[in-house]
Amino acid sequence: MTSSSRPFDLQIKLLMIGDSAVGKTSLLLRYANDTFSSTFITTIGIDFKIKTIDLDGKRVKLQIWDTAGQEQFRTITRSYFRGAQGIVLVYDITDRGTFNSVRSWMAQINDHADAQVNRVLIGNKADFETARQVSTEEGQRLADEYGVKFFETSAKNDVNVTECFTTIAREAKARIPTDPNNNRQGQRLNSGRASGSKPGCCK
Amino acid sequence: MWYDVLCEAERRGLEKDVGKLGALARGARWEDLVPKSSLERYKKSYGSTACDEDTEWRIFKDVPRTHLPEDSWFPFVFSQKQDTKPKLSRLLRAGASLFGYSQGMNFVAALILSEEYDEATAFALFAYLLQDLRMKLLYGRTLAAYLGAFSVALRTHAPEIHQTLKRLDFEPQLYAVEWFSTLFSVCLPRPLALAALDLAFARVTDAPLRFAVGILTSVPIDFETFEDIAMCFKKHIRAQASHHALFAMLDVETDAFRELQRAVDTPYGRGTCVDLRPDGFAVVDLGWGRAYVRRVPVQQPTTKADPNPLRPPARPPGHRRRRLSN
Repeated sequence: MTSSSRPFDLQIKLLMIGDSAVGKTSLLLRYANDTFSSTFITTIGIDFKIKTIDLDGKRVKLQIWDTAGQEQFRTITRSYFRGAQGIVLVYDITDRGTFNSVRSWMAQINDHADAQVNRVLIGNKADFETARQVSTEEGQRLADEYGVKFFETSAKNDVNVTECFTTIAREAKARIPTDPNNNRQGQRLNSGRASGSKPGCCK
Repeated sequence: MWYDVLCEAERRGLEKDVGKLGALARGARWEDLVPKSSLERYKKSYGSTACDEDTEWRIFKDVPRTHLPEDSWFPFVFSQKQDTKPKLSRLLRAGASLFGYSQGMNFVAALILSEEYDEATAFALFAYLLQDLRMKLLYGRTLAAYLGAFSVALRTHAPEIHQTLKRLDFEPQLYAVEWFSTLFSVCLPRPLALAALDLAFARVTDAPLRFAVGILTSVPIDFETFEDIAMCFKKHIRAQASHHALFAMLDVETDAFRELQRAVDTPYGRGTCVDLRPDGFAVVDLGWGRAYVRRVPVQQPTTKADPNPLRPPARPPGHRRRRLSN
């Protein structure tokens, strides 16, 4: 039985955003496949991953959308916000510019995502302490300002990766009704159609 | 391969294509398809790599991430020839001084470099492709317009596939961004990626758009759910796409969507037309939102051509002609 046909109680669409090269794909591949490579390819457009987890006694399927971070794709990226129930906003602790962009990303979330969407702020590449440009306190302060949870992560060393995804999934789950009939409905640019009878080919 | 495609174009009486495919069928290389004066001009200008700090930084970040893990060609180039990364970096910086830099261009430049050209010639080809052949329109704000044109082309020429993808909520921005931004170099096997560049250098009209429709019409699309297609589409296309896409693209006429990609003035500012709706409205992407403008049919050249065929007509009394949405 593939992951797409395995039964689940709830499906949640998560969106990963943040500037280019902050490690969004690395975080996702660490979480979904438990792999890491320093030679990941640039994400152009969007990639998808599915991970089904047990969360507080419920089977929760996470449909995770990994977006391209570069400015040129912003017009297109906006359409991905539709239907997202949780947003993972990532910056790179070794690149202050990516931290400075967090406010702009938050504004995009306000403008284009559902009003109730859950958010989490991630400072990635925490393993690269010698190159740090953004302190943990600064990250925490900014997260507090927006009222969101904050993690410093390392996709390379697998630090806090599972925790951040579990946290955002738990917050979204608490908000979303668990009636499967409500949560398996497809939405435009899709928050998750129910899996049909055809098994997935490459999970 | 090109000889067979040429024969097919001749059989179908596609005069415009026959002339252009003829050169490819005779074995012309990319540099043979570029006017010598342009080639020399760009070669001479190579070396001017000044670009702003932000662009420099983006190129610095992207060059090490320019490779195709599941393919054999780029890792080979990288591992066997350690000077490839600096070459690619210099080439992109020189290009940025002419037409900016956007993600995706790094793969196009890498594909050209992988054909063993000397650095200046590779740059001349890259610059000619982006600047003179206007492939720079596949980047930035105009990409949205190109996706709109692609969507209309698909709806026109492959309505069943368009309907299937629509039913799955799998819209072009979920897959075709990568196709166009990298000129297919990431999503297709190397021979087909090179064929896409052949078509562009041969000046086949609307080559990327027609090729994209050709791919979809030559590959079975039998997914049943959004999740299945989202998870498998990239691998499916890489595994299934073949030279049949080159024959399939011959069916695609581009006249039906010539209004698309135009710059259009609206009461809300200037934008680009990204879709033509059956109800007579053009959808204009403004960058910060979309405007819906009633279309005026394109005037045939009996008298002076209308410079802006999408100009809104006078508003009929009580008729809500334009509206905005995000």
